[in-house]
Amino acid sequence: MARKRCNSCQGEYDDVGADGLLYFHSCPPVTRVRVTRDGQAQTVDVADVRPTDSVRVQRAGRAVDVVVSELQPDDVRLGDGTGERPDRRDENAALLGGEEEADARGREGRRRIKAIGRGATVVRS
Amino acid sequence: MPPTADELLRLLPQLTPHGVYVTGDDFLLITSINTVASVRLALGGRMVGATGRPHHFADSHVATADRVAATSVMRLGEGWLQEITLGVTGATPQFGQTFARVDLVRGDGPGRTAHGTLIQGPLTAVQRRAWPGSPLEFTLGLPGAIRSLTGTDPAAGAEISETVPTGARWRFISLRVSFTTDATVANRTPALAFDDGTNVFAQAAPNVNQAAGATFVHHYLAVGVNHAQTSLSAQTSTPPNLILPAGFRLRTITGALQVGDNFAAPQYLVEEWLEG
Repeated sequence: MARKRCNSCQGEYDDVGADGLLYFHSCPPVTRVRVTRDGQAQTVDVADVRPTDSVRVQRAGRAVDVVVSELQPDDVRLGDGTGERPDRRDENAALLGGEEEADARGREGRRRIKAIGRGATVVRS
Repeated sequence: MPPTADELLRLLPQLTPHGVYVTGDDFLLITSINTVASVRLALGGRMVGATGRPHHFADSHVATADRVAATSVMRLGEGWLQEITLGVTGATPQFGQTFARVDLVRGDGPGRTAHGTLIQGPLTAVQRRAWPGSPLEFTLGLPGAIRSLTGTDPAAGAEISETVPTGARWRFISLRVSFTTDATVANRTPALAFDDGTNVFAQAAPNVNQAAGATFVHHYLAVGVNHAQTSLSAQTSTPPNLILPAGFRLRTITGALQVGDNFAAPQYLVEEWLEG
């Protein structure tokens, strides 16, 4: 059993579960936020939202544009979406296509998986 | 060479009623799908040759552990196949975690043709399958294996996402996860969504708002109604008896998610069947 960190999404996981079965990581989608920045409407990853951006929120029953640094607790941010990462990793077995990588859990030390992404790093073996 | 009429008459009392005449072009083809590491299948059997003398045979098959089908063949020679038995060695899978089929085929390689299925069903280290005797069974017609899984611990600002593995089918039972919000002023609502790999078809949203700088433990399970928040715990009802094929996902969609918000690794319970 090894503890791994996905180099695409930085998620950590054990490659063999406590029940002894293999675990196959797949990256989560990225949350995308609709903002207005420098007068331009655009969609950015949640990690890239700036305090000076404006977002549309539901406040007191009305949709209003508010600067991120001035948001109130009961504001409901509108227009959020999700998107797949371009470097998404998916360790589930590929029955068709996919990519082959070295994996001690596979036959002859290799497995064909759906997407290698940026690979994974062993954090603790 | 096929037996003569005299040989057949002499041997008939010794042969089982289900005995099958096979030649050197006949093979046993073992196909397995399996989820447990180190599983090997032990095949044993008996044949009666043209002279009427029985001889025993044995073979071993190595299964994969990622639910991808593995195959192996064993040449039979000429005679009457009397019985075979198949069991698990090397590991102790739960019922439903190892599944195998033994076919009688003619020829080897891509051009082979199957002309009989002798064994089909789940196996454990204790529960074997035999021909003649065992019924042919299907992966989805029997109870699945109950699994408690620890999912990926996502990075800060990322949602939870767990995918039904290739070759599996899940029935979702429950999920528990700790969620910590950063100092950004906003009320978060972590819903649990189910999608087909792309499109969400069901979503269970809590009726509690999690404010900044708080750690709540969220529970998602089919209890019929969302329960009011108690202390720092929330219970949200999910659709009952939710069946998820391979490639489907269960994931959180959190309203007002912030870059510093952090989910811990989810712990979830499913019933799992092999699907092949």
